[in-house]
Amino acid sequence: MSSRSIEAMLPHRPPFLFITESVSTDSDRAKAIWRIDGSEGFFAGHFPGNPIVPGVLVTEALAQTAGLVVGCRCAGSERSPRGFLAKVDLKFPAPAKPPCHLVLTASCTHEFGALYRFDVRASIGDATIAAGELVLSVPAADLSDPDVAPGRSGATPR
Amino acid sequence: MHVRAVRPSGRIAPEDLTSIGNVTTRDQVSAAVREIICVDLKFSGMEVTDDLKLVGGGLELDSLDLLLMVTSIEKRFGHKITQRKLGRETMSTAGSFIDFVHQELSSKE
Repeated sequence: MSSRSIEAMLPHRPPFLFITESVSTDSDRAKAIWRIDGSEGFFAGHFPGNPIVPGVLVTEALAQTAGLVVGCRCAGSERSPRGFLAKVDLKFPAPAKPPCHLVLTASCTHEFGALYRFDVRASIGDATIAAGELVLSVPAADLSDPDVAPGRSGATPR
Repeated sequence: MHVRAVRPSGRIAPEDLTSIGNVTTRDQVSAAVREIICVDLKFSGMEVTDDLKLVGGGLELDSLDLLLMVTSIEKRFGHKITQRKLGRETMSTAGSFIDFVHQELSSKE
């Protein structure tokens, strides 16, 4: 999938579009690549002399990969493919250092109202950089059902 | 009589949540739902009765909490819940959710 096709599926744009290449995408799973050459601006501060890809950006890249699946599912429907990150539960077993090709995978396990839950993984070769789950919230055309809008019913203090 | 094994942490022993003779009882589902509410969703000490409302005036769970309940049940019983059957009716109260899960598991068995 070309960068133009990726931009058709996702609302993100450089410098906050981290998917360089989409290897495969369907309505259940997506595999994408983020090519990191070390010239990215954030390495100036993270960290000087010891560049490491920030975990939050790996998380965002995985969310964008999941967004490709949502884009596939929403194609031709009334639902907007523009989702928001609703929940993240990831582990980062190893840091990602440039230059590298970060392979990103997202597999949709649940569609629950406006929520899409994914098993996700970022890797370099055989090494897992990040793995876990994330949930995207995708606004429906009609959000009148409080059961499908996260937080709409209010959180009970606990 | 089946005696439930409760760990010092309050968690129910995994063997207690597995099917007995390939049949999952409603009590087992009820224990699992109670544990999810009290431990996973952090309503510790909450008395979980069948008429406890999950949304709208009871626990006021949001959709992320409800999704966690579904995925937690799936992990505990190794059964994928039929998503299209989930809705306002099946998740309105603890009892309705327990009944729904029990029915799902019974149909599998």
